[in-house]
Amino acid sequence: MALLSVSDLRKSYAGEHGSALPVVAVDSFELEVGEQVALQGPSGCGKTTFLHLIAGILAADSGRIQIGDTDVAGLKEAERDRFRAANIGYVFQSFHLMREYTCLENVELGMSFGAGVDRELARSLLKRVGLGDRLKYRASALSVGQQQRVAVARALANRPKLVLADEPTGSLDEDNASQALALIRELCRENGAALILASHDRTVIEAFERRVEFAELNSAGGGLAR
Amino acid sequence: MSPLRMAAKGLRQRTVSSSIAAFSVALSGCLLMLVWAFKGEAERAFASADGGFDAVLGPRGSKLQIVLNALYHLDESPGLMRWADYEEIKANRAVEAAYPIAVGDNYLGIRLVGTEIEYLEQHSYREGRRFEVAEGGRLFQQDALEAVAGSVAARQLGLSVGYTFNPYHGLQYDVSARHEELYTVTGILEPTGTPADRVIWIPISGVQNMSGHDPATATDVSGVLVKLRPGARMAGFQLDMLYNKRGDRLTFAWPASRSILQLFDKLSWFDHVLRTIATLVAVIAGAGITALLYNAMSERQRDIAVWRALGARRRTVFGIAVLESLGITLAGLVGAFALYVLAGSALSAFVQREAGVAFDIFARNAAFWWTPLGIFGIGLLAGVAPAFKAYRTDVVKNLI
Repeated sequence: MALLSVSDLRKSYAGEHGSALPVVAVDSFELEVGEQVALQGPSGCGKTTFLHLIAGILAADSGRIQIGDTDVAGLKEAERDRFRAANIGYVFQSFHLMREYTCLENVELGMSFGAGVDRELARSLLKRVGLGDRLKYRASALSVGQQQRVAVARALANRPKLVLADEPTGSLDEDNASQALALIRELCRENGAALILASHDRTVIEAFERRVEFAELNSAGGGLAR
Repeated sequence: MSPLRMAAKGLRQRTVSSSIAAFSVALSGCLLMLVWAFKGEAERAFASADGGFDAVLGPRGSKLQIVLNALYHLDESPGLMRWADYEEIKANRAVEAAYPIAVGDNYLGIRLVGTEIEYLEQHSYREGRRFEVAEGGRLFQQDALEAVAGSVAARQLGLSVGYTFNPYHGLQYDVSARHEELYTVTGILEPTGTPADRVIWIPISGVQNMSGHDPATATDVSGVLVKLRPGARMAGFQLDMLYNKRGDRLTFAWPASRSILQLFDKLSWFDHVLRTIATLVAVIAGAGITALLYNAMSERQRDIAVWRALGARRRTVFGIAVLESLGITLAGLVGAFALYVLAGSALSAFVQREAGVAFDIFARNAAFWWTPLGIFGIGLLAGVAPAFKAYRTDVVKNLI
């Protein structure tokens, strides 16, 4: 059963002289419930824009992004925000934690705009990622690897159906990268969340059973990369 | 995590700058309340500190000067009037009580006021309240070199029963103008909250016959405090007509408090100036909040973008920015009330010491709700520009 179904998705940015610069042109893409897929492609090929469109952070110019029963592309901005808060988890390349917040507060932040804060769930997620003894530590006091683990816990805090991870290992060394990757995949499996992970790192990509070359999926070629 | 908690965390991240902004709000709020509430309280307190008298009869001159001199012990007498004038008004059927006042000497800058013993014995300075001498003391005896100190005067000079002193000539202290007479303090008056607290009372004959005073004026007085009989309202008009319209030697200041209120009316422009300054200070404090939060929002574009990426709606981040502004404003208002109590108590003590009038700094006044409301409004407006900046944050651009 498809969790995500993308069809005829188009997104352009304004070019230098006011002309439209196509960035994403995906005719068809599907993801099953609980499935994990790696999007492979060089920087600037449009992977991040594609993830932003799925998350509803960006509005599509046209096309459909069906997640469950909802066409995200057809929602207004506030509705997309609400949908994202309730259904999507996001892991960023540079983690984007609130540096002055504690680990627990950072994870609670991931719940704050959706169904509400469940402190016990936040604690258990942090324990699950190995930071049960760092609940009250400020994010700024953690190592890079620990910060990424907090970011993973935050992405799963709202019990998402879909987790989007954009170059989640890009800021990590090899050991931390493989640990973080394994953690993201395990947690998504444990929580029944599907995963789209975008990366240009072959080692990361090869860990996935399903791999998609984004340049083949995106006929616009990313715009910026061209 | 609620928007309220997120706003509180945002403020805690900038504790120093937020505290400074809150302090500026506190200062402006305190200033507004002081200017506003004290104006009202000053009018009320001065008007009600008439010592239980309806009028003052004095030498020809300004009514305000006569009232300030005789009732509030603040100004000089415009001259002297005869003892017979005192006896005449005392004998008037409409007059319930009349007490002569003679001034012209001081002790270390504190005014000596000569009067009849009956004033301190029989007069009610407020409904049902008469002068009382603190335990261990007594009133002076007529024609003796004895003195009774008001409570404020006694505290200021450290006077106690048995203390002796030489008066000085004039109302200003001049070390070279010492009189030879040696007075003994026989009692300290209990506080009354009236100007009577800040002078030293001696027998009227003492002032009249002080060494160095002109013997030709030995029976003259500076003024007469007059209490009319209850219901004798027409008597006020008649005496006003008698002394002010038909006569040209004396001035009858009636009602006594009107002169003070007229003074406040004449000074109302100054009140407007002060209130305008205080309002400008409040607006400047608001601008400070705007600048602080606007800069903070610029620095926190990435954080705001992350909130938005996690599902925060634009109106949520707008609300958080406004809550931060209101947080500073509320902290400032709490500070404003604290500062008002501190500054108000100090100023009230100062006024009591200088004018003998007791201010109630907690007396009901519109300033206590209009000031918080006004400052709250300014705080709300101050948060709008930063909130709008937060509202417009470009998520994609700031997530890179």
